[in-house]
Amino acid sequence: MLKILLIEDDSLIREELKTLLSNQGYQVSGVTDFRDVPRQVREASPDLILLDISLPGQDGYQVCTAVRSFSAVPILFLTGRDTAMDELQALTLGGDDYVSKPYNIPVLLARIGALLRRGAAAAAAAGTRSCPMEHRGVRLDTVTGTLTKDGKSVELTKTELKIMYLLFLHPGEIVPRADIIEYLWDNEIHTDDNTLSVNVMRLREKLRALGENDFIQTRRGMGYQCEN
Amino acid sequence: MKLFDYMHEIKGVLLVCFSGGLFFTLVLAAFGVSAAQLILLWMCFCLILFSTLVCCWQKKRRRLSYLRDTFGVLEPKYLMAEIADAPDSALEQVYFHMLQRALKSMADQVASSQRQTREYQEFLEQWVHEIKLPVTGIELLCENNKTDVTRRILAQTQRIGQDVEKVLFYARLGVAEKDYLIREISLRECVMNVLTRNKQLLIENNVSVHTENLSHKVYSDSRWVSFLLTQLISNSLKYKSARPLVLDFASRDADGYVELSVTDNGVGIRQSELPRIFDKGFVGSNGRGAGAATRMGAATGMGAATGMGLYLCAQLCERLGIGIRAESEWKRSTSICLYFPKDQTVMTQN
Repeated sequence: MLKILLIEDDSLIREELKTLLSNQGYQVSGVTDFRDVPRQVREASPDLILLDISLPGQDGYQVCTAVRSFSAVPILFLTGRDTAMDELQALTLGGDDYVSKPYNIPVLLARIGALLRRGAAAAAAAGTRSCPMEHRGVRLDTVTGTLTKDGKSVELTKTELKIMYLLFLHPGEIVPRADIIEYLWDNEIHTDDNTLSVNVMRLREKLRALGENDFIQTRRGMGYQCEN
Repeated sequence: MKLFDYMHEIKGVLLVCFSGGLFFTLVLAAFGVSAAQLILLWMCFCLILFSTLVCCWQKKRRRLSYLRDTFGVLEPKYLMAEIADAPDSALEQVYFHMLQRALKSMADQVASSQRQTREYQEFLEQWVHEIKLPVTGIELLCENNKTDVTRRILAQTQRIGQDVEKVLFYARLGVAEKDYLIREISLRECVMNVLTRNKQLLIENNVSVHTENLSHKVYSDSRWVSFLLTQLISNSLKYKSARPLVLDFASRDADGYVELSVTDNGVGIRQSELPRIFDKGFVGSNGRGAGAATRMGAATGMGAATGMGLYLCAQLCERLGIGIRAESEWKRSTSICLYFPKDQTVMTQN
């Protein structure tokens, strides 16, 4: 598991970031004692450091410089200060990236992912996405974007593919409409409620062509479900 | 100053001279001085008087034209009393001294109010950075405990974020130093970033977004451009019509510029109001409360207009060398176009 070290003095943000990143499958530890932070970094030897700039005692820039003197670990600055000077200073002192508060959470996660892939510990992160996926004999191939059953196959549009992928990730569970729409937005498909309904309708038609009539169930007021 | 003006000014002295002359003429006549001698005396008297008069007038005129010339080229003008040569005449010295003190006290006042403004602006910036902490905290809390309620809280938090940014950029407008980093930025990345940042608010309002092209790269500061786009989105939400809101982002090449347009299908802007929408504090009929916009505004949870959003946008655009223009069809659509210069050198010189 990849280790992330959080250097952030606001305890609520530290705890919530910890939860957020743990849910993403990272091993997260936070610095709570801000005396001699570089020593703690050395002891923890993390794969990535999330570093705030305004800290009690040594500020983030000083910590960054100190850490750089013994380690090339990726450092991502997380900070409320967002002037051009702050950003420049963070990057010239050896920071690898810079995200300002309030975070854009998907962007934050993407940048963490990118930094970790770039870092030495790349291998472990890969292989989480299993494709093709299968449920009740229907196969979803995310690479070619097709649904297949008994040798018959239909092609999906980008939006349909994303919806299907999310449903396949949670087989048998009710996936709320809000979750689906948010997932689509995270994937740069900016649709409204109606468009989602239209897309699900089209998906049902395509599934009917494969001989699956009630593959996607509507749970009124809750969402959609691929029944077991 | 004309000679006549000068004579007018010293008419008291002249009157005393002539009445004195007249008095002595009468006395001399009583002593039996002849008329011819009196005329000769009068001529000498007038000559002396007149040459003295012209002499004094010339001296005054030179001093005045010196002061006028110095004042004319002096910048800033309030340094006049410090720069000009000190006067000889007692009266002017008093005036001069008073002027010096008046200007100094004014300069002190200006300096102190400038200091206050700077402190105020620094405090605002500080405050904005502090308020971002709890906002970030709320966002993370909601993200980690996702329910319908927290989604709606997130949407509201994103509105807080938009307004806080507005304050920050308004505070920064007043600062002389430049706070931007001109880099090559991808319009697509910028638009997507803004959309993700305001995701909950847009989803909550059932907005659909279309993008077209957006493959252009421009030279600008990504944070400032993001702010511009956020304000435009916030306006579209504020002035949406009864129809579901559709936002269109498109970019295209336009004669030395890259044009980025943000179009919505909202209530639109009246043609008569269009030229004034970038003015400070301008609130059109849409924002004033009678129109459908405010009713919708209440429904979408977007507050009343302050007339600052587009003003700020226009100001920032001017700083960054971006052109901004609005087009609208009343009750149908509004389109705001940003024009990024293609030539990178134009940008960095600004």
